[in-house]
Amino acid sequence: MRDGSNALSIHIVDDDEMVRCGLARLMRSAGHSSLSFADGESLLTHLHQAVPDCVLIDITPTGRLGIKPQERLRARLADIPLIAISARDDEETVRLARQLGARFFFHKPVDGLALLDAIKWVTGDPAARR
Amino acid sequence: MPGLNLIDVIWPMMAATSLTLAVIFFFIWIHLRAQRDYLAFALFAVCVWFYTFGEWSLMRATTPEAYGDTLRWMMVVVPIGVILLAAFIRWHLRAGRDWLFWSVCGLRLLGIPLNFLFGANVVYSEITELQQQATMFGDSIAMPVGVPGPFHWLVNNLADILLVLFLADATHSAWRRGDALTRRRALLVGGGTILFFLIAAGHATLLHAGLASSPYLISISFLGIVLVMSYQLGFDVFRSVHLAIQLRESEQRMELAVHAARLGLWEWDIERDVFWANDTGYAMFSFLPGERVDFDRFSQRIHPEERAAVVTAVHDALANHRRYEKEYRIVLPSGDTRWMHAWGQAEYSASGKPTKLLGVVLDATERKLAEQRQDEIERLANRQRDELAHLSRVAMLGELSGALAHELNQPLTSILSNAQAAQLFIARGVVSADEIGPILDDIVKADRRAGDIIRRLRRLLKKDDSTRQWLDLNEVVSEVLRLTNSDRVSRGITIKLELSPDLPPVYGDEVQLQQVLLNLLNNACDAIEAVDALPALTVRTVCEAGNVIVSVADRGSGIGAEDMERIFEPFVTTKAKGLGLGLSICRTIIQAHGGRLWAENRQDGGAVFHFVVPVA
Repeated sequence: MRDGSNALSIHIVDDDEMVRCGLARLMRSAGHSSLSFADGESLLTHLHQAVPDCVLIDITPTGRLGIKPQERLRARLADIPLIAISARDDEETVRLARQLGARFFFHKPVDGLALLDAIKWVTGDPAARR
Repeated sequence: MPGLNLIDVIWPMMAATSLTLAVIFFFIWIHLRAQRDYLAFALFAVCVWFYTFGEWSLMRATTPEAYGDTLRWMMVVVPIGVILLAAFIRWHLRAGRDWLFWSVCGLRLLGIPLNFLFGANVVYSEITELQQQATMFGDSIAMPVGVPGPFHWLVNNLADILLVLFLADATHSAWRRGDALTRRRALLVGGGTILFFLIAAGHATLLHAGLASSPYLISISFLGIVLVMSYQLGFDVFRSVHLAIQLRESEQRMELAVHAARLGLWEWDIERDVFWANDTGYAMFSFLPGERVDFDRFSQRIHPEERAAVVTAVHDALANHRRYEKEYRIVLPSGDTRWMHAWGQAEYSASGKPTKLLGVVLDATERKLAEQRQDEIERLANRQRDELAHLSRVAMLGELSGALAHELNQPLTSILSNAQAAQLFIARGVVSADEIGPILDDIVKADRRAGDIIRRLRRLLKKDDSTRQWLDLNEVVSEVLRLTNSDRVSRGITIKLELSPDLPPVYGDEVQLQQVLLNLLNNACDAIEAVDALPALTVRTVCEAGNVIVSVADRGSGIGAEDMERIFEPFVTTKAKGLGLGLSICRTIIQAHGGRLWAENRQDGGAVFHFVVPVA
């Protein structure tokens, strides 16, 4: 987007290494670059250094993010497109995703092509909007 | 012949006493043939009777010839009496050296022919005159003057010395060997006999040597011996009568007990092949009173399925000198089936052949039926417990569905994204093994993980009969932790494991024990989240005094004192969802394993649940 190509920088947050690895590979197969984080805390730290085009975040009900990191995260992610992924689809999880400002909510196991389309959409790729 | 005086009274009286005792003990012996000492005593007393009369007539002898003749016949009776005395001691005290006994017998028997071959008798070869000596009773008695016989010292004196030695030796060995009763016997019979015999023999020797001048007074000593012997024998008879009375009383008590206990007493005479039983015994087997029952007839009553086993048990007991004990069913002519419990003990002949099998039999039907009912109730209770355990397992897994979905969705997500990544690579023409290889590896890995979870779930959900096996409880802990691992990770709950490395195996139902652990872990996680406590659990296993203890500790708010026991009751719960069956089922499961499940509060906050399962 910034350099005219459709290669994006994606940040992935998931506590499961296997999931992170799969999603990262999916991003790479679509030509995107990605960085993986085990939790929101480490994402926050890294956001100071580089701002991604999109964040994929795994939502868990009680979050275990803690109230403060959650609020900081919300503040910090306000201008970054956010896509939520979760193994659960109960009310609490969905509410949490909404609070964080997620533009899309995907249920695990997530369809890769749909996810990639959603990334295109939220990053404002004109081709996708058409 | 002077008129009647004391001698004419005393000697016949002594003779009569001996004869009376002889008759009494002869009749006792007829009933107690095995007691040869009674016979020896009776015959000895007869000898003393003869001898006493002989002595009396010696005193009244008028010519040396008559005196010598009488003494000759007396000297036939004396050896027999001495031999009987020795035999009595031998049989009564069951002691005495053989060679002494047979020497006495030989010498004394030798004296009998010598008595007839040399001179007047064996004591005197010739009696030259009779002196009439006045007595204090105012009459006179005959006293012989004569030449001692040549063999007198050999067959009489030497034999007497040997007899005293024999008596002393027998008394001594009986004393040393015996209990209080035998010692009394030795002292009284042995000691008394020796004393009286020494007096008699000493007196006779003095007379024969001419050192004393008096008539023979040996019968007095002999009567003493007779009295000592009969006193002891009489005591024995009294004792056996007393024992017989006691035995009868104890038999009566026994009969009463047997009757009250409805015990059948039986006895199988093996040689004659005939059964005896008391009335209860006959009635138990529906035999007519007095009916002749042999082994065949008895075994026809036994249930056909058990006949061979009973016969084997009987033969085994007889052949191996073992106690016979068997439980078997019998079929009565009425068609009723009853359970019998029989015990028995065999008796054997000297050659080791079984002669008798005697014992008791008890109708065990009521007990058997009660046992069967008890078994049935227990089986039913076990089945209900297993069913309830299964139901609550299913319910619990339902409550855990969110966590379990997470557990499965993680590997599925990984598989899907990897596979789609591969498709995209291929679509873009990137088909390098470097790229595709790791993708496939990860897919396989994730698929296995999902498979494992499904397998564990299926085992928990399966409704099988409880199966027990040897289990490592550490392994049970690990299995359960793996099932909900990623859920806990995503909830940020860490587990501290303190597993004892050398845990002995316990015998139990793996699925049910997993259920208990899953339940305790789940409760602990909920307790932590309820109060937003430090998200750390500790799971500990230890072996203590033959028990394996598993503990799950949390840092939640702990348990209120009033809830400490109540939480184990069914339908008691502190949670919004859930039936409250979990802990009550857990406790039932652990109790069925012979163990215990309980809770306590930690000093530094939080609760800890322990369960203990005995090893073996």
